[in-house]
Amino acid sequence: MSVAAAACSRRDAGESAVWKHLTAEEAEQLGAVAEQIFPADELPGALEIGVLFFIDEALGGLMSGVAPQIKQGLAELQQLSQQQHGPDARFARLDFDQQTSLLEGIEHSPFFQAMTFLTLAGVFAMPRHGGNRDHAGWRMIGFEQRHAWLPPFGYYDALEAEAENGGEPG
Amino acid sequence: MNRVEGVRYPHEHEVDFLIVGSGAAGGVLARELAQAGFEVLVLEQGPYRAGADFTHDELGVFWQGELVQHPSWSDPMTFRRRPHDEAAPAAGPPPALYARTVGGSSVHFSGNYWRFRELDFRERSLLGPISGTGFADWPITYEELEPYYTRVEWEVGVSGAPGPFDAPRSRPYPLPPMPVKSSGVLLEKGARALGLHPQPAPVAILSQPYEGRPACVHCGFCMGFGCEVNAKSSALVTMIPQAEATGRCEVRSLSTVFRVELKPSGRAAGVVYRDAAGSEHRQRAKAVIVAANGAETPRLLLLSESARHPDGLANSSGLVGKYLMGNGHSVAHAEFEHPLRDWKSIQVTRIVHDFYAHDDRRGFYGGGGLDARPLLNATPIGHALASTAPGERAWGRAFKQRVVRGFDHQLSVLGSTTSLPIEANHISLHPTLRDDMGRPALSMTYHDHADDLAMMGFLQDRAVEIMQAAGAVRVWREPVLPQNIHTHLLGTCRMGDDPATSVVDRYHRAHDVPNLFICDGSSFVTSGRGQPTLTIQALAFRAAEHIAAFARGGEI
Repeated sequence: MSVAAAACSRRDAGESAVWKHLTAEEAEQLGAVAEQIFPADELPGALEIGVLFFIDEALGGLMSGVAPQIKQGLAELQQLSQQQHGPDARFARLDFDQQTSLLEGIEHSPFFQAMTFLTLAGVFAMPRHGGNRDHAGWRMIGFEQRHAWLPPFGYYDALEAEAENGGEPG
Repeated sequence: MNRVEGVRYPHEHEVDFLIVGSGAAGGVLARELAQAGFEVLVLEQGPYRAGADFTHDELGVFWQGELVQHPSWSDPMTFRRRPHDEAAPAAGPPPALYARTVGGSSVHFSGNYWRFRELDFRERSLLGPISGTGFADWPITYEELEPYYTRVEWEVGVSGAPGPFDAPRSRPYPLPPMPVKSSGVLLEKGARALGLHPQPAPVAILSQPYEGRPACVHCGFCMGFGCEVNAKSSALVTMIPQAEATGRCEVRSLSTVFRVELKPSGRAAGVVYRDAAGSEHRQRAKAVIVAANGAETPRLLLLSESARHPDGLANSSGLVGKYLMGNGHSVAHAEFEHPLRDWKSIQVTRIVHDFYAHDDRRGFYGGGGLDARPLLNATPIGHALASTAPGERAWGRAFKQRVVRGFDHQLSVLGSTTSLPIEANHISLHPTLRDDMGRPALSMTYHDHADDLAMMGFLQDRAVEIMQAAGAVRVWREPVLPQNIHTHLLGTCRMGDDPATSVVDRYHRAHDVPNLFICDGSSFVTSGRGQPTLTIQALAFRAAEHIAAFARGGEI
């Protein structure tokens, strides 16, 4: 079984404590950042979509190049959390709005840019890379993976086809 | 499509023509010269992928650059805006963004096949000089190239319909336009409301079965992806198999050419290349044709310096690598009330060419075209990364809501325009950075001319008006900025009659080396308004005819 496939099966089994490249501590902190980038509302957020499984795989494989940047960024994030919220504070345990305002201060940093890419790729890349659980990312935006489509494709071209067919549905 | 397992030429065998590059130009030259009876060897640095090798894996193909990166080793590029800036390794996509695979960038392109017009070949005469540029006429005219435009359209399979501003054509398109998408309907609606003249987009994608290939199945993974069903009219599925079917053409993939070698007489003797393992080989040839694209072609010539050619092969003019052009681009985005689902099917189905010609009243040089398309919204990650307006936060709750709604409801209007030939814009060899094989890295220096930037802005203004007239609920602009990535790689070995001011003659023969030909985007004298591939292939058909005649006449 490929590493990505293994991650997929762990993801689908709902396991959470078997990271290959992340420590449990890193996973908790990165998960909180990912959830800030793509939060749950009435639709699932980054964590529920399985983004952490994607990040765990990506940092050890496809995107191992950014792993040092992520680790360093996490350390700085933790430092910042303690500076702003006391020596016992941990970023992942701050409340949602506190996390948001802290991240606003570093949103242009290479760490946060890399986390944005990792999070969005984890939501929207093919599930075989580890994230996008049950196509949840795709389903929420209306995307469907097919090899072929037929026109009409959308509302406006359907309307035009209908008009050209004398009002009959095209 | 069944590959013909054909001829294999030994290294010591002197083939008639050795072609560097299997893309839009190399593919045409290989097919034409092989069909004319010559022995042809094509060396391609990329692997020999076929339809079944192409996937919809957006992360791997589009964002990790599966088709773009060197297949066997790291080959970094650098970018800088001005010659006095530091040439730093580019983060993100390479500045010369092209596909390393058999068929070249025609495998991953979007297939927009605009012809140039009469004015594109003689605009210097029409408008006069432009200060600070090498603005010049081509040595050939539209009339001379027209039969070859027609040949390309019929030989590779282009879908389209003539528009009101098109240059004269001797034959209609072989295939009707592709089915219109919602983006095309809305561009047409807005443009007509403003008195403009939208027209179906000509594309090298099959709207109907053609020459044994199936029609497009509208899968949506087009720009940046290889076509799984061979409906995209790339060199891979048109010219290359026809070249191989002659039994005289070998396409040798995973072969990166490092140097063109000369005989003591000063004539090209062949090339030195490395295979996937990095092992060096020499291949002999009676004539060499470089068709490696407007970035890699000058790089190879510069790498081929010698005592006789101290500044690079065929570079007595000093212009190899100079006058790098791309095309200027600007983008406006629009959101509509109802779902467009523009992520299905091809990129572009309607274009507007009302602003193609130069107009003094604008106050700057230029002209261009507009098209409506999903652009990066064709695929989910691209949509999430690229659909945020300046000033909006690209993460968090509001961002997510925009991403969720936008995928089905957005389109982009792309403005495409000229890139004036400026000598300081160039491809050079990096002084210190090397690839894994010790080869100097490709270095790009580029800054758009102020008039091109002004025209990008002008086209964006028109795009915004058209989208508002089409009833968009929200329209926003991407900032018009100097560009640092080019997919259209043009002008770096310009064509001309005077060896002092050009690298190749009107038949694509290097002024300095009689059996060396250079034919690809590097031959362009001016950039055209946006879509160069059809012109690259028309030039290649024309070049092949002349090169074959020279060879038969003992003139090579």
